[in-house]
Amino acid sequence: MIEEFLDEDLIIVVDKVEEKFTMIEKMVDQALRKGVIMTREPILHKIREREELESTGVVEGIAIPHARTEAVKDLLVVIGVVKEGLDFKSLDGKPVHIVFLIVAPEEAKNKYIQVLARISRMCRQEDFRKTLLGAASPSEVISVLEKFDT
Amino acid sequence: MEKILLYIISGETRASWDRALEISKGLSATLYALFIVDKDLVKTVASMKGLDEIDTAVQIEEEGWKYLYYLEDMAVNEGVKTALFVEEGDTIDILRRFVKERNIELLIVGHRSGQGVEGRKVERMIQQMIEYVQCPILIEKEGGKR
Repeated sequence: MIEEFLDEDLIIVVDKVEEKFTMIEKMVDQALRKGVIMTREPILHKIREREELESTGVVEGIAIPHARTEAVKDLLVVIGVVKEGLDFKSLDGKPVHIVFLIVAPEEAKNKYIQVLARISRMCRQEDFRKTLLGAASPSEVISVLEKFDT
Repeated sequence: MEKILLYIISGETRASWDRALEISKGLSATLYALFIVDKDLVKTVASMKGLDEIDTAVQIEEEGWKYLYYLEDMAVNEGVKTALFVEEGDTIDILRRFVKERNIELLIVGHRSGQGVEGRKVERMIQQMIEYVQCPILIEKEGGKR
């Protein structure tokens, strides 16, 4: 189910980022460069608004910032890998290494919730987290996601 | 009051969702939403449907995440801070521990009157909740009065 939204070009790998919004900006900019979105500010605004309400960091090194906005035409998934970890102000206080950015328009609400639910469920599996954190390239990230997406 | 817990049993307990959002907004409290993959429920469902217990737990958990994200969507629209949790195990043990560890000040749970075995199970669970969970509990009767 998730694989239909995955694209190697929408996976970025960085060594280090100081701040969570810098990482989110990099991910949105990647989508902009690839022509998947036409504008960045409304998306960043929605994500920032959502993150200010409560951090969407989930568990054990994985965060899922998400929002709905009409600035995208369809559900968008961008994945970011931060090798050295990033302080995402998550509830468990642990550094985040993988960021799933999920944005969707109003009409894709059900799909958006299904994808969020699937990723959240996968992220609770220790096997999945370990394998994903060990992925060294975008193609490996996709392989891991495809393997566990059942 | 700063921390309110909504225990989500299913998607059929929406009156409790509305109540939890209303109270959290009114008090500017953070709404913790918890779904529990109850081990006994997993066994029962797996046995009834002839499915593997692990697959059943996966299905139930994913359904739980959907409820949580629907609730979160409503909370964002209301400007209510939320934190979502899924836990696996014995419902009463988890609720008791969760309330204690996070200093929850109010637990909200929806209850739809049911008949037969299922209805009695829910009634028993609520009785245990009242007995063991160390915080005030608001039981929102779905489709009726509190």
